[in-house]
Amino acid sequence: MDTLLQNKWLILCSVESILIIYLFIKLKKKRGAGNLEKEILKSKGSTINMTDVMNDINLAPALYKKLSRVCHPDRFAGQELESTANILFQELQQAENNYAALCKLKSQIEKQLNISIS
Amino acid sequence: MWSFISNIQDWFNDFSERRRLVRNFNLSAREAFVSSLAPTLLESSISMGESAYRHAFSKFMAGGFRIKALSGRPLNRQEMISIAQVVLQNQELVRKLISLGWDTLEVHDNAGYNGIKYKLYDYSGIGGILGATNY
Repeated sequence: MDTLLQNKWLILCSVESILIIYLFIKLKKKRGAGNLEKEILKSKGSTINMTDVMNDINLAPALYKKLSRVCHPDRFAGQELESTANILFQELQQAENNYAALCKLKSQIEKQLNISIS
Repeated sequence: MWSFISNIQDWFNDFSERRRLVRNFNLSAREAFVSSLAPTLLESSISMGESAYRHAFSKFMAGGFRIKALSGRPLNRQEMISIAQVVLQNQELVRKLISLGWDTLEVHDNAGYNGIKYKLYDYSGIGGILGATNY
């Protein structure tokens, strides 16, 4: 009976010590991460629209190619619209892989450069 | 004890969130392919990842986010880079991937033997990561 009771306590002690070691390692990891953890954990709850991601992968390259050809600053060299084309082209390069941003830019280009894009 | 229980709960939550993200990606890719928006069918899965790219939140033996392009022919390097760049330039997505324990982005095709790997850590754009000295 005594040995059984001793074994019980031994098992309990070992489980407890494993738990303490686990929590200690976890705490060390947390301290190591510092500010990084807070910033990263913020984005944990964000929702990603995968349809947009698919559009970025599949539709953005073709639209970017078309728009960059249409509003290239060289086409407006020596004209009044050259500086506008320059600005739009820079914005276009920044939004190369963002289909939604490219669609917005498309309407901007049509308005500001007076061209129609099919 | 409560912290231990909440850790276990977090682990299960993370697990289901990871599965949901992969499933959503595959579903959207399938829809894009079926509606002939996409010329190739993409499929994402969880892989082991690169041990050299690990960070504090990496999941053990499951740190790789693999995108497989079912193109039927070997993709050239430029095509693989363009697929990877779309993911890497979407900072929200990269941060989400890091927070859910992924550390490596892998892109490869189903026909060839080549693929590319990126360290997600470098593309998160988080000041805390780049400026961390005690990491």
